[in-house]
Amino acid sequence: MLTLAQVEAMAPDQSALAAASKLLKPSAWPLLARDAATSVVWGEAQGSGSAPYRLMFDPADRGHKCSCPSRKFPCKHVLAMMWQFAEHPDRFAVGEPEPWVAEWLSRRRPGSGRPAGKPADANAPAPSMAALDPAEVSPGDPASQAQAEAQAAQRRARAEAAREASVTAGLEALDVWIGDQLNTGLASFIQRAQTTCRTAAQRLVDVKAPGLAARLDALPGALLSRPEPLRPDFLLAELGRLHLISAAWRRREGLDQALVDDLRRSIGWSVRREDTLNDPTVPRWAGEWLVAGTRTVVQPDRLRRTETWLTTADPAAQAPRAAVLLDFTPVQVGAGEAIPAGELFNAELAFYPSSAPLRALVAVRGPALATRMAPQGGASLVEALAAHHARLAALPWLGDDLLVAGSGRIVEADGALWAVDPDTDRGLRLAVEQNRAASPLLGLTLSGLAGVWDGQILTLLSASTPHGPWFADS
Amino acid sequence: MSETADWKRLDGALSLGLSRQPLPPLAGAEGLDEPARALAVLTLLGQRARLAEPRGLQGLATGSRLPDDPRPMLDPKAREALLRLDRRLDAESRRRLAPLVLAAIGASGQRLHPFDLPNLDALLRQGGTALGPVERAWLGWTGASAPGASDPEGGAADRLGAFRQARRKDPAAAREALAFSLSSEPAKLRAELVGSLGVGLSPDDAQFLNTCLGDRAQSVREAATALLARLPGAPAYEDRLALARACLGVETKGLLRKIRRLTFKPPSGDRHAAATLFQGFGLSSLIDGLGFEPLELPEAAAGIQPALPLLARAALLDGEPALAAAFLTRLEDPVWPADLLRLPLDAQLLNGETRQTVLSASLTHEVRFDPLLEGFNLAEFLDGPMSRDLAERLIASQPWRRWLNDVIQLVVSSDRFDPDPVLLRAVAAMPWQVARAVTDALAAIPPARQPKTAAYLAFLARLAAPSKPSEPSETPVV
Repeated sequence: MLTLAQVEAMAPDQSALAAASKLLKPSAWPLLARDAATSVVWGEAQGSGSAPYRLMFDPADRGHKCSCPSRKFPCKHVLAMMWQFAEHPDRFAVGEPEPWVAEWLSRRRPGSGRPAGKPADANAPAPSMAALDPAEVSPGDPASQAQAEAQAAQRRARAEAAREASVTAGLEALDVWIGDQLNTGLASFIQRAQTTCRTAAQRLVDVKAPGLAARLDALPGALLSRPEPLRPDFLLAELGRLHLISAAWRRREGLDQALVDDLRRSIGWSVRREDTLNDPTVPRWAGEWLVAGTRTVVQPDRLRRTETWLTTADPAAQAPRAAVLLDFTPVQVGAGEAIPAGELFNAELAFYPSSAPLRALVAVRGPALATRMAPQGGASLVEALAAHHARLAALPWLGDDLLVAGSGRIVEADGALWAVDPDTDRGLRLAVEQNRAASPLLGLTLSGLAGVWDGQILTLLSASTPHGPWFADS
Repeated sequence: MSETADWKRLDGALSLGLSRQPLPPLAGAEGLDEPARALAVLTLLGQRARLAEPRGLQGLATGSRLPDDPRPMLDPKAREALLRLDRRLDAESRRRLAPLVLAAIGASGQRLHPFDLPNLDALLRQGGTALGPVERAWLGWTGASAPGASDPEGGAADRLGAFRQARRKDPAAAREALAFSLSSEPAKLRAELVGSLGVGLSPDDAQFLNTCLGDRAQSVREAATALLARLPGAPAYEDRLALARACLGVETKGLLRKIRRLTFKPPSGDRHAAATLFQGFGLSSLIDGLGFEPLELPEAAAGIQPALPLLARAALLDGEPALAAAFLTRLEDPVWPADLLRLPLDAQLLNGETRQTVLSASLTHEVRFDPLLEGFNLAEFLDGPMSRDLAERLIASQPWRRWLNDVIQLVVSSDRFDPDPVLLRAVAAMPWQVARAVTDALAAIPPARQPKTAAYLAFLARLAAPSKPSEPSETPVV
């Protein structure tokens, strides 16, 4: 029997539980039912829309699903239903599963034993799916299994087509929204950014484009965090990038597959980590990789994103010069363990398919070869930027990128610090937040540096100096 | 479209709003409707910004903000130990420990690694006079206010402390500096500054003290009067000295062998009356005419317990710390340092060297340390780090061992007793050379019960074993 302690343990955070507590009134539930044989429970919750949300829960493995657009797993509806099931099982009428419940069950328990209904989200934890134990699933006979799989494939294709149509409509609406901002004027955008971006992001969630939604949600904060003179160009670049994605989506039929893969990931299609690791066609590079630095960002969806930026130890290697490992953990869980900055290790990296490969997974990792090392040697800063521009040409909506240079100086100008190419005296502005941490580098000749470039600002990660290695996070 | 002016016009239109400033006609975009043209322009401008060349920064000063310092930098393990220590310190212990940490680094011949300055900001702000030129430059550059600058009381305390130090070093120069700035200070601080002239008081101060008698604040006039009364030759001084001498007498006992003993008849008044009366008199002035050699006095005074601290203070004023310690060890239950603290003597009258000598001289087996060192900080009493010789003598002494044993017993007998602050107060002044010995001595106390002390000693121990400090810890990647 489900207990309230178990329900609490499943809640992604306290606010989800608090929201669930407001849904415990029977009047909010047009339907609450359970299957006596399997103990599966399901219900319909009256939301703000015309149709109620449909949700189901399997106490056996605590799998669950809800048709609401929440990005929390489980959502408040599932939590509220479980809560009621724990406290008032009598409210649940005994009966045969509804067709949508049966369909969910069939998708969850195919012969392969692998949950197939919902693609695992590489960007979010999926405790309900993780709770499934393939060993518990009994295989059916091969014929019916093949038929079930074919049906499931058809359903997935239909769902995929529906999602694509939904995204298409959503991106058209996004273009209209951007056009509205241009009509009103970008000079006044900052005053309305918080509200208008939130609303537009919510619409993108509704059309199942969570990647773009997150980008738009983060826009006001990113805009406000940078110096005022930089804001207009940043806004142009960000809104322009959103439109680029939208325009590319409409023309995806004519794009290279790698670019389409980029496009889908940018919009929010998730790719299973296992699928990438098991895919023999994805590019892989084995060699010595150096952790140039790590960054941790708390996203608006309360997930903590840990970026581990890697660079090849050998600047002349015929491999991508950089890679980024992304890890997502719920904020309330605490920071996960990242590979420490300055660690050099042997590894084979599997890159997500892309026209400008950057995001990767560690397929095979060897032991650490050294610690506290900073990048040294390689191209000049200007050449590194030119390489970034080439990658930008290949992937026009490319976001943050790692710049690795073999020389540099840190100078001060306009109240900011700059990383300067000593040969050309051209420089990239450092993040204001780094003014204090990077100021001991002033005047030193750097024999190597690495930083994350967002198109306007360089966040310095590490540098080789006459005083030894410097790391931003130490 | 390649003209800068055209880009600016487009930028201006998007900034102001297309409803107010429509886009100009664009070559190549005739087939697009108005919204599509706007989005295309937006994208072009955005990508143009992202593909911009880096800014030229020719001619900018690139010199370091930090001055050169030829001393080797702390090695990576010492850096790590220092950062770990800093993370464990609360504001109060950081305030107490910061000058000692910096002094210990300086004494080891090393310096902070410049990359650690941002992380050690809070520690540096409490560094006071122990800050080196690099740290001072760093604090100045980052706009960090001087310690206590935002707090009038704290600022006054700093100025007072700085003046006392200056006075110990060069009494005349300090007095002249004070004469220049005194009038601009608030009355309370003026009185304390004038009172601090008791450090190194001499007849040369008389003229300045006489001018202070005309100060508008009564507290300043009183402080000046009290000091003038301590100047030999002044009528008040002579009167008070006569009264103080009258408190001391001689008696002779014994039939076969006459033993001369000192007697003490305290003046009437409250319990501070004797201390006030004896203030500022050296031992030689007090016993003049009694027929004792100074070295005979501790034994002769053993029977007059209330007078022993007064005589110890007088010996200190004569520059005889060993003699002062000899008086103190004649106390029936000499608790060190409580007895020293109870001396009716302004602690700032003693310079650091004298204090170390007092501590050294009093390390006899009869003296014991208060296990809780309540209200006492060895480092603050010593006014800086302990010398290596003294530290080695201290930790080898019976009083120290007894004290440590008392602390260990307290730790064993009660989970509630927190030994960490006590231990930290005791070891904070230790030099890095004895860190390992002290760590070993404290081994009976679990590290979890002494986190700050253990971190501090671990840091000091790292200073003892620098490993090629000026070199990077790893070979960079090529």
